Amino acid sequence: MGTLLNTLRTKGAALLLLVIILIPSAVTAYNNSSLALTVKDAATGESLHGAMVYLDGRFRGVEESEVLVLNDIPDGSHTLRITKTGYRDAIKKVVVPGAGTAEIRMEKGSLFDLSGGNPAPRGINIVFIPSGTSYDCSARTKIPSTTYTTDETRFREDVLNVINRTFLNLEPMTSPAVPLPADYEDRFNFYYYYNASEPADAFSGCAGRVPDSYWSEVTFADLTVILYPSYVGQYNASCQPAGCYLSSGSGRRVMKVPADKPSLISHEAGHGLYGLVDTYCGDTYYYENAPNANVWSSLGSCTTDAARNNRNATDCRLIEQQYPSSCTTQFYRWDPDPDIMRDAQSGKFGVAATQRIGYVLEQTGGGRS
Amino acid sequence: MRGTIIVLLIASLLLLSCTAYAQEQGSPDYEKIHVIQLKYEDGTYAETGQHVQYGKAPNPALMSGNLRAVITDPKGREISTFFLMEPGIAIGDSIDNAETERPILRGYLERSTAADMVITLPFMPGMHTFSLYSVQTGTHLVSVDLSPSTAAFCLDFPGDPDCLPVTSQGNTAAQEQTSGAAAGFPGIYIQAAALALLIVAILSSYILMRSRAKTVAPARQKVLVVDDEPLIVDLVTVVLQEQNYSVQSATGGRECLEMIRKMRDLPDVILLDIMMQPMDGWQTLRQLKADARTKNIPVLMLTGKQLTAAEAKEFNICIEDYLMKPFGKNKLDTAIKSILHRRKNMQSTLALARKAGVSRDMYCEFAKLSRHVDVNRKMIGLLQQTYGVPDPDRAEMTEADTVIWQLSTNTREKEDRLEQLRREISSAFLAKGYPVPSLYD
Repeated sequence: MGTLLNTLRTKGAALLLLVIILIPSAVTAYNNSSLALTVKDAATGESLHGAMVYLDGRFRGVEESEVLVLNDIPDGSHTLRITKTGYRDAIKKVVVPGAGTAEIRMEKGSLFDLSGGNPAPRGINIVFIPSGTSYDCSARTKIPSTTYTTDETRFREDVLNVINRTFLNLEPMTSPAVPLPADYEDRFNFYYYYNASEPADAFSGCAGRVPDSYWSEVTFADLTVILYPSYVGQYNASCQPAGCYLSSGSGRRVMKVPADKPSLISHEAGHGLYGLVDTYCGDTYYYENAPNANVWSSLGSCTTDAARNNRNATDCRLIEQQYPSSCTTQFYRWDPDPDIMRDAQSGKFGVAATQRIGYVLEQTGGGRS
Repeated sequence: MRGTIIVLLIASLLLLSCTAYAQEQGSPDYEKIHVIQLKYEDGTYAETGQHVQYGKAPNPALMSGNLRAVITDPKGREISTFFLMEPGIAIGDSIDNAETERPILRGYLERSTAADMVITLPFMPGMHTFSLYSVQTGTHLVSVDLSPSTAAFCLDFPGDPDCLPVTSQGNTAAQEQTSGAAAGFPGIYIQAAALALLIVAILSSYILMRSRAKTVAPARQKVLVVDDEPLIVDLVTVVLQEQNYSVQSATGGRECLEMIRKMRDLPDVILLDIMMQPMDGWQTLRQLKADARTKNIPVLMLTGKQLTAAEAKEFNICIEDYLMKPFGKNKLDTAIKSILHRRKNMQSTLALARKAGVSRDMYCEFAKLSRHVDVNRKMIGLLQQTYGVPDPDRAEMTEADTVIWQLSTNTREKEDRLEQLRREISSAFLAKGYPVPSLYD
């Protein structure tokens, strides 16, 4: 015991620190303040059950009945966080002791899961949002469109159609020489965001604009797809749909695409999801997208890469003139034509592009269980 | 001692009851994100805001582009790296058949000189600084200190497991489970569990302190400084001695090799100057690496003010890192500590690798390549700053162009192999539930 006392004396500071760290659990047990909590749907006022309740970031239980009583709360200001599937997280400051009660009103979320509630843990999260605008070929201007904002079912059907014809249709679109992971379909998590009063605008700037409310709810999108309905009027030689991709950071990659042009959607997904570069010559953005590039900044780089991947190095060629006729580049390509990164009407992803797609899919670490 | 064991058993049983109760109630979700806002204007980046919030993050590994983002811990060690595209570049494609027989794609690029950027990262305990670099030039673009927003978050959510003062992983888990049950669990059990924990902590700390008192203070790390400028040797020696290193010095390559030959205890790190006469740093390094007894000693090369192309050629010999003169006290200290930390980590990670079924050879290759690629990347950036980006199709390539070109090709090959190894090792680690080892740790 003498040694214990000596140690207590000499190592007092360390021991005190341990006691300070652990004492709150003990002290909490002796505090009698409590808070009666009710959780309601903000729109209907109906009580919600199954909400998870956290006090100051610490899980305190599940709201199973009309009222959840939280005991042993120290006096002072606290932060409540309530979560429930299908609703936006609610954060509220409360003071204890106060009225002794708190009512949380939760707003329904606008995000809908298309993956059956079993997302792949590190999967590719793709979120679709409808555009409230389209393009009029006769008037040559963007116009408001209610095709999606008044019909969620139509939007959902178009989204499912796009998913099945593009993201989950990689076998016929890619090169069999570089097989993709057999479970690639399970590596995607698809969602759509539907708030009829706040749609996206596909024709604001090149890649469109997504409302701020979207970003506050969707923090995890690896790719946001603004889907717009067909142009109004007949497509003709000088009025054809457009796609565009813009990256403004991680979680902020956006592409706009027309729902009726799957090949153009696959081309834009080539940019937006797989980091592929255009192989046509024109006013676009070239860079060597290593590793597993489909465009190289020099002939040497292309041939080295080809040799390393057992491809014929003589197929490396300058990105040639196509449109406009004066076009020149200093970048090289390998994939054979028709190449979807050059020709979105009839092309497919060549060996180099497929290798890059496989590389990106591998970054997910595997599909859902 | 018997009493301690009984208390421990009681505490464990109480905690198990609490755990079971908490699990019945649903599993808590503490996933968080760190959001950084940047403003890009005329080639420069500036932070405009940041915060931590609850939520899910995108997968940064899926991205690519010309910007390299690095997250480091408070000691400057890399936690993760990913790539991003420059902001303000919208890549447009439209189908056009106005002037051709069959429809073609027409590009239209919108490039802004000013743009906002938002980086959403998965929150990881220990993340301290976010930095952005240009891949092409290696130039540092911006750094953001992440600690203020983590501190602000913890003010609002002090009970979050990542905000609790952690004494050990077990303690955090215990606190989380105890609180999970607090909504309806009879208070007496909570009190008992808390008191039991308190007693266990006091007894454990007593036992720990006793055992510590018996241990011998760890040996000081040994550094050998090799430089033919006595002033540099003196300065470095003083700085390192202040940091409690045991320092020995040699004024040339031959003297260094001779000293090491006679040493019974080899140095933990060698600081080797490149420009020495008559035997320079590279010749010395080659001899060190050729000797089985000394080849594993990490070597930190001290280079001149500017890296020359001729010097860069030599870097193919695997070195741990290099420091460019003049260097400050902090840079020197950080570089040595990183080397020693990596060595120490390597031992524990190797043990995990073995358990995960990853062979020692594979893991060692991974670690060695990680270092090599990291050093090469820094070097390419420095060389490009001096000589510009080479174009191998140009009629006449300078010696510097050739060196940069070869170094880039060589690094790319290593990166491909490294990526392959990283994938294999990561899946083996993840399958066992082990944390994935960092590339440069």
